[in-house]
Amino acid sequence: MVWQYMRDDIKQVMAQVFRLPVDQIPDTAKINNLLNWDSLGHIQLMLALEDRFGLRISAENILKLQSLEAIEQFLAQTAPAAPPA
Amino acid sequence: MAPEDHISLSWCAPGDIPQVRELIGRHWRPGHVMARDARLYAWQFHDPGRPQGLSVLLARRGGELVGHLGLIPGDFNLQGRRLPCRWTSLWFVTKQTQATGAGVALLRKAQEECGGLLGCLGYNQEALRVFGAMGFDLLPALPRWLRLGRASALHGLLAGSPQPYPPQVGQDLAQAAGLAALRPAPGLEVRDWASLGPRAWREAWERDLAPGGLGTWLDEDFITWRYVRHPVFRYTVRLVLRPADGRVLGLMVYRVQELAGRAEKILRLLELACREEARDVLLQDLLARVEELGPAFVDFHCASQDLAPALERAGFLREESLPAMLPSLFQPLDFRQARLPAALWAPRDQGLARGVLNSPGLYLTRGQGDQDRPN
Repeated sequence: MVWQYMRDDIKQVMAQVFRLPVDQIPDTAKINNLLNWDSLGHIQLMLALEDRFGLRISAENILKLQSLEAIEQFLAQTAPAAPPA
Repeated sequence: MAPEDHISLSWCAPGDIPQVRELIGRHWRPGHVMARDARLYAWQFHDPGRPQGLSVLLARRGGELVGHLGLIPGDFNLQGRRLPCRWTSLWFVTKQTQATGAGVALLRKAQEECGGLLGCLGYNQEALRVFGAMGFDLLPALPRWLRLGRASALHGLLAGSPQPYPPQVGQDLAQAAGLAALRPAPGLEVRDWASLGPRAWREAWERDLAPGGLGTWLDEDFITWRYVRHPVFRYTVRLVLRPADGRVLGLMVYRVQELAGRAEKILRLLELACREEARDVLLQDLLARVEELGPAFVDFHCASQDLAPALERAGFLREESLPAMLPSLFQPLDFRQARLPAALWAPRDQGLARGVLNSPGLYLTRGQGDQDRPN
């Protein structure tokens, strides 16, 4: 249940950043295979995740967080308890 | 992610330079001067704080270089407070590495590790969007001042443009030059840098100029590194002296740009950092050189609004008042209209960079990043 909550939350952020309906963001979403998730979209997503989850994403993690799955695993390990959206 | 796909970031070591130059030549621009000239590269990215390394961040994928971000050290003067600052240069990743986040990761690592301000002079629209997203404040164009040199030389230069220039460009420049009326400055003399030396400038900088200033920290180390000992260009550095008390009141830097295969020259003014009473005498000295050399025009990219009255008294015009822009790239001569935007980021203080860029007293010139270099 916690995992589903996190995934939905990330999808909400991605939907806002990439200007897509949430239901068009698949669980397999990756950089460069989702509309608007390019270089600029990537930094916008990282900054939006920082705002939403109250954390700082390092340069090294910017390089690792290239899929919804990777972001979810990273946030599950590092994010403070996610506040309600 | 497979190990061979993992991208890592690190600072450039001297042993990396041959590979880095190959990267620049292959993936940034074939024949780029930084790929050709190892001495210029080492000079451009020397790092006083890292004697064993260069001020360059690199991205590697499986041991292969795939990204580059140069960070030219150039501290910032905030009204007498010296803040660490670096100017980004040659920021790129290979085509195969685009859309991996490597470019923004390089910039984020610079934000994390440089411990001060980050600036950029000259960038394209794509970089503009990333700078904006990453919290930089932006100045759409560094103001450019222009002054007619010799009308026949300007006419000859513009006649080579693929697009005809409106005659009004020359007419407006001639009119402004004809109205030049610099004020006499009794008791002040202009001397060469070599005759007074860096110590005289250090005293002037620390005592008179830095305390009220806003811009690059222009101490004797910077002037010596950036202009006096430039590995390729020959800059002329002139100082204003008040012999009565031996004080130096200001400094001017310019250079003459020859144009390959053409008779015309350009005179590029790079610095005019001085107390108010020294401005006219320095500009008088510049105009004497203009008269002697007969360049097509003089150009000066400078943010300072405080210098505007003196520049106008010397016959300069803001480029934006002309119906067309004059070329600003000369090796080779390039008539494409190019503005010079600036971006600045300050850690922890969101308002600082915006306040600096919006200040009429900001003294920022083309020479302080990497925008006056050989091509």
